[in-house]
Amino acid sequence: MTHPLLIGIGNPERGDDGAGREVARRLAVRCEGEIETLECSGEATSLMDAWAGASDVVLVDACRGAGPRGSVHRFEPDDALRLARLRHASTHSMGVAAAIGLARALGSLPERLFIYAIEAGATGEGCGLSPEVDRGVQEVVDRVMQDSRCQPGDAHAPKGRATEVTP
Amino acid sequence: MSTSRRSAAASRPKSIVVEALARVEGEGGLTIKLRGGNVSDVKLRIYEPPRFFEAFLRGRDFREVPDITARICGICPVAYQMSSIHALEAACGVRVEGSLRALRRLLYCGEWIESHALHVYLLHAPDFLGYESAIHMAKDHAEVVHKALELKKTGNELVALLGGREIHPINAKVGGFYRVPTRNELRPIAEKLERALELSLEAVRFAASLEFPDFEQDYEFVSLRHPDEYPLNEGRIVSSKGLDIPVAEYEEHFIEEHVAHANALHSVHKGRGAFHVGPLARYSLNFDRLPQIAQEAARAAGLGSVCRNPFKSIVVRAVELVFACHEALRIISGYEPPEAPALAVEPRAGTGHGASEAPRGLLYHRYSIDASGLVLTARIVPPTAQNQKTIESDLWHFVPTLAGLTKEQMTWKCEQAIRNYDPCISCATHFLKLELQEE
Repeated sequence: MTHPLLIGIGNPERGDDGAGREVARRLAVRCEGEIETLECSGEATSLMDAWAGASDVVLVDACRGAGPRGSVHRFEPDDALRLARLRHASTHSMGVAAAIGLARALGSLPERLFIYAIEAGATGEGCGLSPEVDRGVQEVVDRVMQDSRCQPGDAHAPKGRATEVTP
Repeated sequence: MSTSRRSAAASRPKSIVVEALARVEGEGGLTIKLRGGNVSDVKLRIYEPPRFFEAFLRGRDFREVPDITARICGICPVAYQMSSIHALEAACGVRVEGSLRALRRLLYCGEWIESHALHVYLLHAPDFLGYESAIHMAKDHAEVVHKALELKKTGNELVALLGGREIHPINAKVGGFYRVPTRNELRPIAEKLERALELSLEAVRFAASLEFPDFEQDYEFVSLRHPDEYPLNEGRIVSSKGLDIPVAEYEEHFIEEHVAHANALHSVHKGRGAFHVGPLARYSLNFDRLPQIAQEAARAAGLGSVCRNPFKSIVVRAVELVFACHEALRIISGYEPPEAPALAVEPRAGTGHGASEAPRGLLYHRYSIDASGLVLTARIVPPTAQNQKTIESDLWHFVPTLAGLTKEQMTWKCEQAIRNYDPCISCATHFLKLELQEE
């Protein structure tokens, strides 16, 4: 059985927009060898490339307009259009929703794929998550570990870094 | 009112509103007013807030500038790095030649490949084939989308290899690079570029097979021109109406005007008004600088040495894909690693000007720095800012040719006309809202 692939999406230099990537980094430490993790900017073609060949994929991204700051929302690929509306403005013209739409049209959508979206607060210049989003990140980490029956490693180990496909 | 008169009145567009024009970069809007079937006003409204890059570059060390300007755009960060680097090197009296110059050109080829592949196939082709988006197009034209993705991936990989990462690269610096590749590191990408060159030739044939409106304009084309090369990162600024100036004289001939309806400044040529930058301008002013393979592909696609039909920019972009892949292969085949990854650059008080050819056209930068290398002033003129007036002008002339179309059809055609320019509104100041009103 292959390991599930978790792709953390976002920009760690824009505050809460780094939430998805922080999930990937924490899981890289806690579930090393049990969950494969990648970090990605969310640009559509890179994202499709990142999940190529994987059958069990979890995407984690920040969103806007889904609920209170730090709240966690789970979407299926069929919710891609709704997700497109929740993604805050990006300088990338094709994002997560386009990647899902294109992959589905091309028959290359992973067999199982769902998306955790964490409601972002501040996405200004600079690193670091707001306390609410930090709690949201930990909630997603816990839910993914539970879903994949991952045996947790040392929660107090130094911060990890998932493999980066795009920054 | 009789039934037939009511129907005629109902079919005549009075106002067309597109809340968000898709497949362009940034946020803005367009209002077209009609009076008796004639256009009475066209306003490209860019309501994206100003981003103040020029202001917050002041007081920064000149070495920080390329990493800051790379953040202006996610699609063309290399262009912003290159124009700023050239301007700052000019200010410091340094000229980078040889392998380092060739590597910069190779990095730029990567950006052209990823940007043009995205626009030709995934952003512009759906207009011509009658699809709302690439996703809708992919269901019927999976092969086309696969080719686009493969081409774009090669461009991404080239930028990542030279730039350190594929978006907002971090490896270019004033004086050269932080790290340069070995010959062996370039070998795998060369194999992919061979395939990309084949795909680019297919892209030209694909684009040439599309149907184009019979619409030509007498543009003043403006681009860089180099004695030996198709322009990327160096040359004099020339125009189809006789302009031929060094980059440092740009501001003597072109000015930016504030208009009430846009947060981006409108550029005009002093005395002649609107001008046109981008693939059509580069191609029409530099056809003789294209390699034979690109010239032959253009001829076979039915293009002359000058192209004035903005809708055919999709064909020209595909020809430029051929150029970029061919040029990248040429550079890699002759590559000898430089002795050092960068020249030492010491600051000196002065002003430097730089211009390079971003995928969307001429990108001008000017910086003044003090003796310690702190930036005193910065000026950045992006291609979309330069093309705004020309986009408006195209619509003034294009809309009257659409008589008889429904409101929805007219809106579609106007959006397509805007996408001819692959506008990057984020750079110019994000959504384009299209509004067509009859007075």
